[in-house]
Parts: sequence; C-alpha cells; structure tokens
Amino acid sequence: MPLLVIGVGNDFRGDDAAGLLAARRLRACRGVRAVEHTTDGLSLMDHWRPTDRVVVVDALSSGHAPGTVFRFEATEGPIPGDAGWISSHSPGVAEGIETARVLGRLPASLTVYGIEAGRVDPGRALTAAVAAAVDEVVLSILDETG
Amino acid sequence: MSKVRTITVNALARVEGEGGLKVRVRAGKVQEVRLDIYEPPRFFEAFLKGRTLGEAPDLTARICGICPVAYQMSSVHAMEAACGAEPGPRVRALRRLLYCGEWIESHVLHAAMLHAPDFLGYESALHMAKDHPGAVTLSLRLKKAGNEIVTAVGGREIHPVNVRVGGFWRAPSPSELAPLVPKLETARGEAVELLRWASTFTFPDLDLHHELVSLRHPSEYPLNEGRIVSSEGLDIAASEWERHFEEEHVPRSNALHARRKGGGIIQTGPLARYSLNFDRLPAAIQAAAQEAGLGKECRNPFKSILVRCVETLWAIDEALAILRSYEPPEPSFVDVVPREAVGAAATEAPRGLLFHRYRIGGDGLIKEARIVPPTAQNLRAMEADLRGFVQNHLDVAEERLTLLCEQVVRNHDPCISCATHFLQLKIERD
Repeated sequence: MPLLVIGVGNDFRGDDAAGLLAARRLRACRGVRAVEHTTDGLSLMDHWRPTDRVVVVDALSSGHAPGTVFRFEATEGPIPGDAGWISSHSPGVAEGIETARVLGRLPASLTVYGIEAGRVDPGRALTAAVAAAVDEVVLSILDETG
Repeated sequence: MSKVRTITVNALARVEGEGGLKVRVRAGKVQEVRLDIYEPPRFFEAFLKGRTLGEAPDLTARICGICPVAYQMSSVHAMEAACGAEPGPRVRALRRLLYCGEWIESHVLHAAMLHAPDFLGYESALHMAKDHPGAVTLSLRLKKAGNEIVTAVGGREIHPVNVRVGGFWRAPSPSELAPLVPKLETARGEAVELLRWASTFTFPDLDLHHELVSLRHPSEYPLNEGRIVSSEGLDIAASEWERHFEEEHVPRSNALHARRKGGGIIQTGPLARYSLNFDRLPAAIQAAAQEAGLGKECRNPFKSILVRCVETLWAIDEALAILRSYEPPEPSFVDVVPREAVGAAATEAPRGLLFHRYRIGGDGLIKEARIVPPTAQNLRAMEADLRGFVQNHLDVAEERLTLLCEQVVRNHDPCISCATHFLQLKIERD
C-alpha cells in the first residue's frame, strides 16, 4: 500500500506553501500517493482510511530558525497544539489530528513534519532556508517508502 | 458605594477574524460596551478600482475563506445588473446550488463546531468531541456534503474558480453532479438529527427588537435575489440600499458600522431571514422548525443555532430539488458587454445581507466599488445585545459572565475578516 502524503498550506502566503510543494515533489514518486490540502484541519481525516500509513507536511511558526524541521509521531501521542501551526482563523492541523484521535479516526501510522516558516506575507516566494527544508523533508519521506 | 466592574476579552475565540470586547459597569449600570476590531483594514474596495469587471468575482471571493461564494454571487449579480445581462434560469439554478453548498458548509461549521460548545460548556469542538463523538462525526460529514457541492460546481472547496460574470466557465454535466444526490439524501437525515440535538440545549433569555433586514422573494426563501425588506415595513429594491442605510467610522473599529439612516439598529442574518420569511419555507421545514421549539418569528439570538440548523435543512432540500431537475446551461455563460453604468445587488450570505455596488466605465474597468458585508451591518446589534444582556445579568460571577458575553457575540457568527475593513472581550465594572 502506498504511503499517503498530505501537503497542507497556502500557495499565496510565502513559506506557508512548503507542505504543498513537498506533496507536489512527491506526486510522481513510486510508493507514494500525494494530495494537497488547502482547507481547514478538521477535514484532514477525510483523506485516510484506518489502515493507511500517512505523512502530513505543514509549515509552522514556533519562533525557531526558519527551515527548522520538526517530526512528530501522531499515533504515539498528541501533536503539540502550541507549536504554532499556521492557519488563518480556521481549525488547523493539530486540531484536526487531535479531533481524529478523539473520534477514533487516526490511521495506522501518522507522521507529521512541521517546517518552521520564515515569511508568510501574501504573494512572497519561499525563503531559501524553507526551500532547503522542503528538500530535506522530501528525501526523508522517500526513505520511509523504502 | 460606587463599584466599577470591567469585563475584558482581549481576543475572542471561535469567531472568524481578530477582535476584542470590553464592557464597563458602574453603579449597577452598563456604561460602555465596545467591540474592538483590530484586524487590519483590507482595502478591497480600493484595489478593485481599475480592474476589469470580470475580475470582481475572483478578487472579492478572497475577502473570506468561509463565504467566498456569497462574494462571488453579489458581485456577478451587480455586474450583470450594470450591463443589462440576463444569464437565464439554468445559470440561476446552478448558482443557487453552489450557494446552498456554502450555506450548508458555513452553517454547520458555526452551529456544530463553534456555537454548540457554548451551550454544553466546552472550550472547543475538540473538547466537546470526547463526550459527543456522534454529534461531531455527524456534523463533519454534513459539512463535507456542503463542501462537495461547492467542489462539484465551483471547481474547488474554497475560493471556487468556476464562477464568472454571465454564468459559469464550464457547466458540470448531469453525470458529474449525480453522485451528490445520494450524499445529500443522507445529509438530510443528519441535518434533522443536528437540529434535534441543538433543540435540547438550554437557551438564555434574551428578546431583542432590532430592525430585522433581509431579502424577500415573491415565492422563495431568500438566497440570491429579492427585494430588501425589514420588520419596520421597509420594502426597497437592492439598488436603493444606500438611500436607506449608511455606514460610519467608529474609532475603536477597523470595520465600518452600518445602520438605518436616522439611527436605528439593524440586524441581518439567519434570525432576520427566518422571521421575515417563515411563510416562504416549505411546510416540511416549517414543521421541523416548530418541532425544534421555534415559532414563526425568532428574536432570541441564542436560538440562532436552531435557525442555522433549519436553514441547513432547507439548503439541502433546495440543493436536492435543483439536482433532480438539473439541465446544464448551454452555453454556460452569456456574453456581458461592458457599458458605463452603476450596478448594485444584494444576496443572502450565510451571515446575512451582502450588498455590492460597482460603477464601471465603457472600457469595462471598475471605477468605484462598495461592499457592505453582513457583519458590518450587525456590529451595532452585537453591542446592543451585550449591553442588554450584561445589564440583566449583573449578579453573574465574572468568569461566567465573560463566557456568556463571548457567546452573545458568537450568536451572530461574526466574520471579522469580512467586516474589516473585527473579536476579544473586556468587561469593566465600577
């Protein structure tokens, strides 16, 4: 069964596009099914079935250096809700995953990559540090496909 | 003894956008109520100037991620009014279908995820989900049904790309829309269940008499066309909005406050639509509303959750009726020839009346734009609701009163992002 990669973000908000770009890079890779998610976190669980192995990639803002990569195993414990997942007003990735946990709708495995954003101003391109972090996350996900 | 109490909420949760709230009570009287809207101004009306009229639906959709279809609908109707274009009944039906999808999605998000936790004493839908997994699961499915309509007709879930002045870029085929029917038939049962669940909540007393304002259509529940009517007997064409209503700047707010000329407080949105158009609801929906404890008129903003559930049910039935008789518009749009003119339109966004007016040139460029979102029309009503509610509940302890004040604001499902050109709570007591 392919690894389901869900890239989360907004193409028009600079580094917030990081998750989407990672999913696009993986779209043609063997062993991967990549989807882009641009709406609220509560509908994340609609992408997976109980037996799926899932990777979610999103930008976050926690005050660390731009491009810093965080990796969480969501099936092992709660996603830190205070990690500053970027979402304009609507429920984000952490809320979506924790709601899925409460409802018993987590997949077999769920890894979350968070990429620390630099700039998320409207209309901006990715910053160099975040572009490099996208490369790093893509390679790391490909390692997981074996 | 003079005692000042101050209730302060610096950042309101479970509303769309950024704002705060402050209530000041002195010697047992509410002295000041203010909704501070500090979300930065958006300048949409300014940057529409000089763009082509065809860009308005895509640009204005970006005002809101919850109700982009409303902006698209008001803008295309206004442009078509300006240019004298009439896209015909099939385009009209497809637009109504798309709009129903947005009503379902927006109403269920607010009723189940943002508003219901208030009545059950939870901090958020996530906390509520632990004890009410069935209701949350059902609501997520219901919301998804709305999303799927928007995706099928509009091309994607948010900020749809298929709407254009004159119609649609491409009309979906009947076979593309057919899978929506069984999903909506299931959703209908879920909407009835959601309404029954909400009807078991306890509703604080609050009976308000703002002037209710909504669209009214000769035969339909209001959605994308009709005259603007009010509980005070107003009955005008949409194009006459500016003759009867005005907006003012208030220093605490990056949103304009709208009111009836002459000073009256107005209220738009589900309570207004329902109270002014109960007779336009099909008998089955009327019966469901009455079974849930609603009368023919609803003046208690806490019960707006029930009205949103009723309107969700209506939108599902309307969408099903459109789908069952769907014939694609051919062509999918009519040509709209620019002319020097002014065009105005109002449609019913989930949160209420959304007025757009554009002045366009013979070159097809927008010379002037005016957009009045429902939240801007409801800000004065929200402040008045807070004033009335706090005055009647001065004996309630601070922490509880603060929560109730937030709920008073959430009753209106304010979209601060839309209105900013808005929420946090501060209650000060002397």
